Order: sequence, then structure tokens, then C-alpha cells
Amino acid sequence: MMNTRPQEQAIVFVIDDDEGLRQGLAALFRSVGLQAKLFGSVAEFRETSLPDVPSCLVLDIRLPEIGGLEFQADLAKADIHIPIVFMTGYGDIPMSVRAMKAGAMEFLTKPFRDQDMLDAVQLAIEQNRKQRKEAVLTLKLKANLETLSPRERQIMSLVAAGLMNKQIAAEIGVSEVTVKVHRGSVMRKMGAKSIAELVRMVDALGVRLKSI
Amino acid sequence: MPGSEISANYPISLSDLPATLQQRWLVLVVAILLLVGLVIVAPFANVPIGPFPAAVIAQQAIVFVNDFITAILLFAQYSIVRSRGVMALAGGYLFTALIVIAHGLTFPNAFTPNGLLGAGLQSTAWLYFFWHWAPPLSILVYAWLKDVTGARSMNQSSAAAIAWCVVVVLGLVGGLTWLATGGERFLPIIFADRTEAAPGRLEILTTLTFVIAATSLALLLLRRSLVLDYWLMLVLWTLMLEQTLVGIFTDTRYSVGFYAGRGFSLLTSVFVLGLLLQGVVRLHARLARSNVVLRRAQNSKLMNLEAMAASISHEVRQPLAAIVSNGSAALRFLDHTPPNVEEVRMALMRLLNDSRRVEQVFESLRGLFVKPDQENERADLNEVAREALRIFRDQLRNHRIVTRTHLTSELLPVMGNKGQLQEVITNLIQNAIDAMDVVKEDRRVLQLKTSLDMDSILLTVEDSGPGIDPNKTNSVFDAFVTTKRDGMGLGLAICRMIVERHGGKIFLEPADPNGCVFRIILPIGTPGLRKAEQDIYQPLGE
Repeated sequence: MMNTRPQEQAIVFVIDDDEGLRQGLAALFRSVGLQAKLFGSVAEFRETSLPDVPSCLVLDIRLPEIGGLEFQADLAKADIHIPIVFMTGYGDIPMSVRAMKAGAMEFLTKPFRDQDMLDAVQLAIEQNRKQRKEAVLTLKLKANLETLSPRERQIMSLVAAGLMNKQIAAEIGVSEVTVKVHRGSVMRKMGAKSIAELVRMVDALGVRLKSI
Repeated sequence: MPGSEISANYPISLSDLPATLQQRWLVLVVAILLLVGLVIVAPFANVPIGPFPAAVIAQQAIVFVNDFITAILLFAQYSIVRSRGVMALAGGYLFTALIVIAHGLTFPNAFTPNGLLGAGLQSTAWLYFFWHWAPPLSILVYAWLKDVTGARSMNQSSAAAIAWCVVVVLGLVGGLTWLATGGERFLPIIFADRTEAAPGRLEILTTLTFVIAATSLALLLLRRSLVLDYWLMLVLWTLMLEQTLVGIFTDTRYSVGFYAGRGFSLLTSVFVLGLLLQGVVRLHARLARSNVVLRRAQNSKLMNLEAMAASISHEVRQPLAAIVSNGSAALRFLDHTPPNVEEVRMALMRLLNDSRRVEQVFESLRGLFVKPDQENERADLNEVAREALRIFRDQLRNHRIVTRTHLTSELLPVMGNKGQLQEVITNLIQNAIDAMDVVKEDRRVLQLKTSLDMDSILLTVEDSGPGIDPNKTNSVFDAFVTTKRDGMGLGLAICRMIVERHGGKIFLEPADPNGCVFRIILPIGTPGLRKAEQDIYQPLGE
């Protein structure tokens, strides 16, 4: 599950209702060693289970049943963060603005330049790779967090809030030595090498002082 | 004369408007009501009411204002339609308006006991008849001239003609006023004293007036067609009733008959004015409405074009994107070591397939416009040209463009589509009108000619505009090339396509001394559209 090999095989998902264009894009991606999976519609895409590898979506903005923009919104709602490269045969500016605002990677007008498409897809995959790495890290952190005792959690968030040992001791009514001991075990359990790193972890986890 | 054919189809002013059934009925009803009025008043005609010269003057003032406005409106009509009949009417109304002043001034007891202008006993009576002869006489002239073709000349300045007419009317009014006052002794006696008419005299003159009006009415009845004609007939009818009342039933001034007569003559001055004013308002409303409709139509035409262009471009972009992808994929597979020949072959095959799809898009597009049942009929190019001119009649007039046509009578028909050929000519005329907007109004001439040359027909459309840059004479027929600020650059491209489909050719040459000439050469009785089409559109590939 925690697959962090540096160069795992990425996949480009292409959704376009034009069979010829799908085949052409697949060949183009194949020629640079990218694997592509082709879909004629959003429904078709939804039926398949996504493999757990870095990927991006190349999406036509006008699709027969559900439009590209709508699908982009659906994905965001479902908390699926896959970078999207949009294509359009019309070149309509309002739509491209909406797509970019909603976080699209790139908006290409057919016929696009091959290099533009490849660049956009590479960039999108790179971004996804980073997203996935962060997600994996977050998972690990969450697992570590589970191992902390309530008191340790409390002290961690106070440390992250920038309080000195003495202040923490006063705050929760224990001796300074006790705080030091808890603090040491927090650093060990979370795998943090420095206070700064611990603060970053707390930020990433979104642990709030109040929530504890 | 083809020029004379361009008429009456599109009424642009009241003097062109045909009478509807409803209007005819209205006129008839009013005529009957007036007759009823006469019958009611007649038995009491001689009952004295008493002298109210002020009432007479008030009536005259109203008549003056009415007739003066009517004259102005009619002159305005003349400047648009250039019909001499309308000019005669306008002159008649102007005359009435002015002679009424003289009549009022000379009317005894109105301003001075004997009337102004050195009036004698007979002055005002004679002026009364001059006043009452003007409408029937001018209507008689109108009826005489109304259907005369060729009476409409666009070259002559309307302002000069109107000025002449006004001068003549002023001279007439002046002369007749002098005759009735200073020259009273030359005229026969009508009144024996202030109120009593000399025996028989009034009857003779009213009978004369009646006869003139009746003659005029009879002529107009024969030639009636326009709504204006019907109301003019009503004017004559009212005049005849008035003369009957005054001549037969009334012997004294200031009696019931006298005042009722004044009422009738007031009515005669109202009818045409009312019609003209109502016409102005209605035509204006109609103009505004059609303007809106026109703008809407233009908008939707543009929208359709835009939508069509967008969908065509989408249909083409799709396979083009596939071609780009396959092509560049093939190149990249060639660069692999070793080259992946199998992938290259597949990519190129798909590429060819996609190219064929582009071709299909254009093929089906052409199918949209070439209807299988396209008419291939005998078309008389003269007729087509006239029809096109008819469409532009108003526009040419508004742009003050003089049209000269030389359509040869010995023209043979061509085979083809009348609508498309007309589209060519209307496109060229529209271009000519637009081109001549920048030259002075008196230099705008549009010439349309047809001639027969061996086995082909030559049609030329020439304008006197600024002409076209000689370097551009070849490119004007290309699509999206335009010299107009807001043009699409499709008109001439469409023209060339249509002409070539008919197996003909179209050229642009500079005109002498300025402007441009479009020459179209069409073969006589081309075997058919479809043959010509096959020659042009040979199937591509395969």
C-alpha cells in the first residue's frame, strides 16, 4: 500500500467521444512511454476501478452525456484529486476560464500541438505524483498519531503552538520534568528529528489545540 | 422601358397606397351621410340666421391653415414620388389656401363695411368661385396625369419643380385677386346688393362649378385605384353638394343654406389633410416596425452563420487533432532505437483514416447546400434583373441613385436557377449602392445592361463609386476578402460560385471615368446545372 518507488508506471486516462482521436492520443502517449487508458464517456470511466498509480485525466470539455466541467466538479466533490487536462474543439474562452479556475492543469484547443499535450500531461502526472507522496506521508503521520496517548497529544499540540516546557507544565498542571519525558516520547513516536519537523507534521495533520 | 415596371409593388408613400375595401366603404358612408345632411338642410336653406361675418372669417382661417398644410404635405409627397399629378394637387391646395385670404379680406363687414383691397360688390363673390374652382380643376389635372407613365423623372430636381409651381400659383392668385377687386368692372355682376344675388347669376356659376366637379369626379371614378383617389372623390362630392345647396336652395347670404355651405367647404379642406396625416403616422409606424424586423432578421442571419461556422470548425478540428497526434506519434516511434515500424504503420494508417474524415465533413457540408431537386429552369436574365431592381427600388431612391437600364429585347434564356441568379445581381447592386455612398449625390449612377453576344449572354452592373484598387480586382472574389468595414467578404465569393455553377464567368473591371463594372458572361441554354457541377466537383482521391 505504501508504494513509494521513485518511478512507478504512470497512466493517462483519456475521455473523448471521438474514437479516432482516442487512438491517436494513445499512440502519442505510447511513443513517449506513457500508458494510456481510453474511455468514450464519463460513464464508461466511472465503471472502471482506478489503479493506484500516478495518473492524470485528458478530458474533452464537451461530452455527450455529462460535460467535462460538470465531471470536474463531481470529482472535486468526491474528494478525488486527479489533475485534468482539458481539450476543446470550440476554443470557447468562458469555458476555459471556468475550467482553469476550478483547478484544471491545462486547456488545449484541438488541434493541439503534440508537444503542448505531452508537456501538459507530464506536468499533470508530476503533480499527481507529488500529491500521492503527500497523501502517503499523511497516512503515515495519522498512523503515528494513533499511537500517542491523550496526554502526549495534548503536549504535542502545545509544543507546536510554540510554548516553552515551563509554560506547558503550568498550563496542564504537571512538573516540567514530566513534560520533558512526554515530549521525548512524542518526538520518538512521530519520528520527528527536530521541533521544526514536528511543527510541520502537526500542521499537515491539522491537529488543533482546541480539538484536543 | 423597364423603368416603368418598377412601381406600385411596394407602396412607400400615400400616393402609392392602394385603397382597401374598408376605406372604400368608409368613403361611401361619409358620402351618404353628407347627402342626408343636404336633404335635411335644404328645406330651411333660406331661413335667415343673421350676419356673423366673424364666423365666415373663422371658417376661412381654418380653411387656410388646412389647405396650406395639405399643400405642404403634398409637395413633400411629390418630392418623393415625383408624380406630376400630385404636384397639380399640391398647387391646387396652395391656390385655395391663398385665395381664401383674398376672399376673407374682401368679405363685406368682416374688416371694413365694404371689404379690404378696394373690394366692390362683386369682388368677394368672384373670389368665392375662384376658390371653389381650384380643387375640382386641380383634381381633374391629377386624375388626368395620375396614370401617365414616364411622368416620374428622377433626374430633375424636385425643389426646382416645386419652386416653379409655387411661383405659378402665386401669380395666379395675385392676378385673379386683382381681377376680382381692381378689375371688377370686367367681370359679370353676381350680387345685386349686399345680401341679394342678381337673378340667375348665382345659379349659372354654381352650375358651372357643379359641372367642373362632376367632370372631375367622373374621370377620377374611371381611374380610381389609390386610397387618395377615393378621398378626392369625396372632396368633389362634398363640393357638388355645397354648390347644390348654395345654387339651388339658397338665395341670400347669412341664411341656413349659406352657413351650411360654409360647413361643407370646411369639410372639403379636412378630408385630404386627415388622410395625409393619418397616412404619415401609419407609414411611420410601419417603417419603424419593419426596421425592427429587418434588424432582427439580420441578427439571426449572423447568428446562424456563426453557429454554422462554429460547428464546421468543431467537425474539422476533431479529426485534425487525431491527425496531429498520430503524425507526431509516428515520428516519435521512428526515433526509437530500433524504430518501432509496426507502431509507425498503425499510426499512419489511422492518420489516413482521419484525413478521410475531414474530407467527409466537407462533402456532407456541400450536400447540405446542393439540394438534389435543385431547379434547373429557363431563366430570362432581363426578368431576373428587373426583379432584383424592384427589390432595391426604395433603397436606390433613398440613396439618390439614378438607375439606367439597357436590357436588350433580343435576349435568349439561360438554363439555371432563377433565385441564385437573382442573388448574384442583388449582391452586385448592394455592393454598388454601398460603394456610391462616398460620392456626391448627383454623381450616383447605377447601370444595368444585358446584351447577346454569339452564344453567350453578357450582363453588366456598373456603378459610379470610387472604384477598386486595380491590384485587388482578382482577389475580390475570394472568400473573406472585403473592402467594407462591416462586411463578411462572402458576397462576391458566393456570386462567383453561382456564376461558375451556371457555366459562366464573372469579371471586375474599372469603369470610365470612375467606379467599377462587373461583367457576367453566361452561356445560352447550358445543358444543365448538374453537368456543370460535375465538372467542378470531381470526387477527390480514390
